[in-house]
Amino acid sequence: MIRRASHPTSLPGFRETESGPFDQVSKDGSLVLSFRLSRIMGARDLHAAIVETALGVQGDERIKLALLVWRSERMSWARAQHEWNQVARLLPAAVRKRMGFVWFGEGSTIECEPPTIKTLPVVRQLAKTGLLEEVSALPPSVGLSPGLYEVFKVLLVLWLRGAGPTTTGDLIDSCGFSYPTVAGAIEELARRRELRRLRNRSVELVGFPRQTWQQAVAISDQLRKPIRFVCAAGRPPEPEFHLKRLREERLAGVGIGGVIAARQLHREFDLSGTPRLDLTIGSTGTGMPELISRIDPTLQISHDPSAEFALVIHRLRRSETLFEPKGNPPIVDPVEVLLDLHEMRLEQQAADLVEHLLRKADRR
Amino acid sequence: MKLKPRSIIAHLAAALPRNLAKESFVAGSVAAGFHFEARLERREIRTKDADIVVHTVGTHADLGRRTEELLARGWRWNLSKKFSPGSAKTRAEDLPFIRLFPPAMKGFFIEFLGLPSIGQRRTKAHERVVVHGTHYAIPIFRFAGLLSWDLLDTGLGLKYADPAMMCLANLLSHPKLGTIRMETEIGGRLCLRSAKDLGRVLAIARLTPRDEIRSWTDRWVEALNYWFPRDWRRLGKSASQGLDALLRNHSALLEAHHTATHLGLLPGLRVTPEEFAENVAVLKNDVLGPLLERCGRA
Repeated sequence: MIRRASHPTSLPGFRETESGPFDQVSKDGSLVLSFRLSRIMGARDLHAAIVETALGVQGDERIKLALLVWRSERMSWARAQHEWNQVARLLPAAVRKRMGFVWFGEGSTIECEPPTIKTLPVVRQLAKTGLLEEVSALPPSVGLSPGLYEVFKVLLVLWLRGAGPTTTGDLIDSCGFSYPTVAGAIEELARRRELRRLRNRSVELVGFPRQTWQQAVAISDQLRKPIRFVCAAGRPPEPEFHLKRLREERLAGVGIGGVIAARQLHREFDLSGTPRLDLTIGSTGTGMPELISRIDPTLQISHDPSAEFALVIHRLRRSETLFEPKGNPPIVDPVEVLLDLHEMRLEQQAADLVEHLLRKADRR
Repeated sequence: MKLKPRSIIAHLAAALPRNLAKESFVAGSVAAGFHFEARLERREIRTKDADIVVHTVGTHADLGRRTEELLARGWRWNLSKKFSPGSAKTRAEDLPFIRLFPPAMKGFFIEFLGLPSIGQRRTKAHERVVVHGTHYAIPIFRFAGLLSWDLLDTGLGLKYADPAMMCLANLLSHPKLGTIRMETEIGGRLCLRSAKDLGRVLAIARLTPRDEIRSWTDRWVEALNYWFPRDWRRLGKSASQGLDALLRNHSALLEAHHTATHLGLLPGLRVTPEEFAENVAVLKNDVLGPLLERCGRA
């Protein structure tokens, strides 16, 4: 699985970020680090990490250099360098020049692209601290792989909607994952006694899967990788304005989540005001840079956890968005709404919404 | 001096003869402070004067008689060496403006401004006014007519200029930063006049909801069309030049930030100079860009 490093300590002169595409940021914000450390990451994971780093760089002019720190036992330096160069050459020069790739091999061997960054103090420090060994050795903290996480979310959406049992084939179509990934997820959920297999090879959840749900909530920030935006002019969030802009632009593959969607799912949703606009982009939906440039180019990415976010964007990895079909723009599925609420620390409101959805589906 | 805009307007409305109040409106910092009083949580603003624009039709000469009437009601001159009365021999542009302290209220004075005729090309004209045989001038700024567009009601007996139109007038008044500095210090600094006025534009933008800012374009085009039927496209296209110049001049930008925060529209909001400057991008995205498009297209 892809692991964003959860560091026990930050490098000297750096602080950890709680959100956004980067893990650590220097005090002045000019140098950022993004860790991708796992035994089994492949080329697709590297491509995704490069693009994510590029988007982060593009959205924050303070960043002078963003280092993607990579370690995967499945990929040699030669292969990693080849993949890096393949993708990097597609990026605008202004972004590419502000990015660097740090590959770690066995025994803290370091290779870099461009090679000049090898001499940077931060890179030397990474090698010295042994931080990478420490992080790589950490077991997965919550026990949910990205595959299981996504299959679980789809099953939960279907269950909350009262859609009835589904087949492995349909799950493969909805998630866009391979048969072994989906079958493995089904196996794991059955082992947890949260899923039952029916006669016609179909499956469904047996109830609200509280154990896996708690794990999903815990890992969501890591897997959904929300990108948070603030108004660069320091204005307070204006979610209604951004919603109006979104409606005017009619962007494809973008759904509304968060508090606005929660109110549509539950008329008596108990929260006054709308703290921010949460959007989810489907895997084939409008790209994030286009979305921002069309609805409000004055927004900028923020990694400050205490900031008042105007807009938060989540991206779906699966093939089908499962958005509610009506509405301009449509609202996202109830599971994404619940995860948005948890991300905002609106725990009580999320619990109330779960109860409401269960009552609505007559599942209590 | 720190005063509450609502108190100033209420006092003026009570002290001005009804006819004059009907033909006048408040502009400048008092108008802006009043408009945003809810967002400013009724804080005080720092001001020394209240700009009173008198929109009598045709000549402003009648203001001489009106001023005599005010003096009879207890208003007092605010004169200084620089602002001592002139005579028939004094050139209009050398005459002092009419500045009066209202009765029973200290701390600020009013200054009469006039409305231009449609299409006025001079940046600033002076109209002679005789008060008790001595001579004064009413300044008539080229873009002051825009201030009279869509006047808003204070509910206290006086109207006031819409902040959106104050922004347009200020933007057009300063296509360049120039070198003219304020006559008096603001928080210990003699700031550029353009920085102060453009700073007010950015402060108003910061306080105005984005949706509302986006609605300014139509009104700006209508008002420009009315007041400058021949030049409106060219003027509209030049509206962002002053802000561009401000962004290129860091010390002027700091002065703009200083005046906006010191005078009262932004205190307590803890807006950094960098954030303050970002309001230029907001204005360009929401109103100046669309305005440019409209002026180019028409």
